[in-house]
Amino acid sequence: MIDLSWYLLLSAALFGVGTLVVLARRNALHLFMGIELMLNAGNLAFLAGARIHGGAQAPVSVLFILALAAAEVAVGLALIVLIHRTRGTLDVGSFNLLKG
Amino acid sequence: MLVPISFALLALLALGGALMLLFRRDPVDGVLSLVVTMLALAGIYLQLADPVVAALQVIVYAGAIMVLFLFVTMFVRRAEERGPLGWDRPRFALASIVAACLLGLLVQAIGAFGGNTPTHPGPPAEIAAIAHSLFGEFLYPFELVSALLLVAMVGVVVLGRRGEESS
Amino acid sequence: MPHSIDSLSFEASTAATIESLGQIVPELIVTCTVLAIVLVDLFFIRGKGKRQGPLEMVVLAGMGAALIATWAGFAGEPRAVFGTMMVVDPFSSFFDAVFLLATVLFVFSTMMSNEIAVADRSEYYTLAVGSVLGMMLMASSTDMVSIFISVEFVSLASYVMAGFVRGDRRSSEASLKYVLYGSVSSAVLLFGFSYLYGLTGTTSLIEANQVLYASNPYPLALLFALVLVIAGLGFKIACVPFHFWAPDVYEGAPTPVTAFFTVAPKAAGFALLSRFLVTLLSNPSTSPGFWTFLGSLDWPLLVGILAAGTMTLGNFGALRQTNMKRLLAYSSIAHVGFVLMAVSTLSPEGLHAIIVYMAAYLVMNLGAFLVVIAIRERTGSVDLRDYDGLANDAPMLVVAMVVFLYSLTGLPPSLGFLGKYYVFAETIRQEIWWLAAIGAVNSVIALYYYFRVAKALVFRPLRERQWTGAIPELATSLSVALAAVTLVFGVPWGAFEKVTTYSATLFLGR
Repeated sequence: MIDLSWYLLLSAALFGVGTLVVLARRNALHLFMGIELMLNAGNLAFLAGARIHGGAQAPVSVLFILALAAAEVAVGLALIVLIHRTRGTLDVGSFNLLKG
Repeated sequence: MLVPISFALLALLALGGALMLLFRRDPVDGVLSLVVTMLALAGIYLQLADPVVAALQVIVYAGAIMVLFLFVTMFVRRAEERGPLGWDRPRFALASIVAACLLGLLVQAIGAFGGNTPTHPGPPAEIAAIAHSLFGEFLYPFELVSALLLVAMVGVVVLGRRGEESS
Repeated sequence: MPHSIDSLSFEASTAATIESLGQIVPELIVTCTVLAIVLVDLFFIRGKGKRQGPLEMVVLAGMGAALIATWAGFAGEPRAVFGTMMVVDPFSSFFDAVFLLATVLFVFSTMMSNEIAVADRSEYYTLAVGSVLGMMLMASSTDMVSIFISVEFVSLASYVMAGFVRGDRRSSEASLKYVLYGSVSSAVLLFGFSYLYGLTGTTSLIEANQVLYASNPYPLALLFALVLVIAGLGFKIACVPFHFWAPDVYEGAPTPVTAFFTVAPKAAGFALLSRFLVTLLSNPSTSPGFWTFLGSLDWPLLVGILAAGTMTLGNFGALRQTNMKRLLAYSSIAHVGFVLMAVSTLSPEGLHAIIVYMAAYLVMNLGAFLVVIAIRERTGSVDLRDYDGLANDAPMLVVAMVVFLYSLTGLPPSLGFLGKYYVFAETIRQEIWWLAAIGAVNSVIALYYYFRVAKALVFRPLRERQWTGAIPELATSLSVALAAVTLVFGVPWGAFEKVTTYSATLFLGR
């Protein structure tokens, strides 16, 4: 069995890359995928924690997170399609009708 | 010996997919590399003795969610070809520095927390245990999720209808 | 926590679940209201000509019934229901009442606004009442899973509500920004929770509290988890440095939705934040009514710095706004700073101050938004430059607005003053002088921009212009009534004091 910290390190790295995608990319689709990556990093950390404690709480939590992520993606992608139809672009840098 | 090697392989795959998402310009590449990450993570969940979550990861994440992503990406792709969206370079530089500092702190935290903890295999979370937990102590959140899905559904209907008018 | 899988314990837990259902009647009524809206729309409104009325009646009846149920449960013993998934205590009941009252005013403000097409109302109310269900859960959740679900619940409904104007690009832009920023904050919150679970081995905050006080071997990892959780929650209440989405979203959203957003989800966020901090971090062995906190970090200082930054940036942002929605958006950020000041004291008195402040903010801010909506009906604009001399056109409405602005500034006697009084009293009692000083300076800055609005309304001459409509009768009477409440409760009443003090009772599982 390998050390738990490796799993946590992987999860931290995935979270970091997800954060970078969110901060640095300009396409709204990329941003959403970065958020998915961050959620997955959280799931991995949950399940790694379950290795110490056992029990079914962590898998059940991850199950809930899966359902919520799916709902969030449905709303987000519907909005992306809507924005794409009205604007013709998904560049978050061009969304500047609201300023001040 | 098998476990460390397979973990290393899966972790490399997962990280590689994530980095592809970060660096490839085309969102279709991004979706496909994210699928690789999801599948690699499913493998890691199997290693962590969570077969149920691993299966769900493949079905829900790699299957449903990423297919939805792929569909929408293909749908809106035309616009991207006209003006490919790349980077926000100054923000990337700044974000990298912030992320590096945070990761450094996090690694320190993990070093204290993960390293000292002996990992014991523990009883694998069987599907029966998960079901009992889900429909026992988590029954109320479970029911709430159904209400949440209703609300999300109404929301998507609203957004979808708006799209119809404007096109 | 390992769980035995014999059918006996499962049956027992099912029985406990059914018994718990009787404890959450207000939530059940709100759930039924959501379903009733969908069904009434389907069977009585679809295809029979769109008109205002039936849906509003359903929502108001549901909220009224839930309010009565909340009041009935208010005096009950604080208790945990569904295991330790959530708790029912005076604190949660009080916030439930705040959300329900905000929804009632929200329905009225929607009725007098033309921003939401009547044909879209059923979906609109479904989302709004759905988000209220989420907020009620936010105010009573004591488990990471139920916290995460409730936060997502409110967020998902809010994302769509922010974009609820047909053919308005600004509205859909506001919506997309909200989804992106909001989802990021959810992911950050989740990552924090995953570490918290790894450290304590339980998703229940009450159990986690006991575990942490029994042994806390990894303070750095705990600190990291808590900072992530506070960042995620700070995002939802728009505290600095996570506030940047708020002005855009509040400006782009339909005005009644903005009014609702500035009050109800914020109150829910504060209820959740204070419950989270107290339940997880306060020392279980100290006597009730006196809390000490896990000492890996100076929490009061950290939250105090956030509070100072939030109120200062909010106020300076508000100074240069000419759009009333944006001005009130920045002002709401400033008020978040004042409430955070109360959070930073981390004491039962501070909790009492939060409660009074949120009740005051509910009345005065929704009142101010009612006036903004009514003026928008009259002039077709939310720009401050179109407010000149409206006192000559709608005197009663302007008088009410002046009362709200006076109260938002925090001058006596008004509800706003009462809220600020408790916040400052507790800050000074704990001798956090620097924070009290920054708060005082900020109150003076706020005076300037609130007075600017009052000055335009009252002292400038009325310009010749094309009116786009009439001031709704309902708006005038409702805002005058709210203004009266603002002034009457500005004097400390014994009964009000008693109710709010009692509301500061939390169930901590000890």
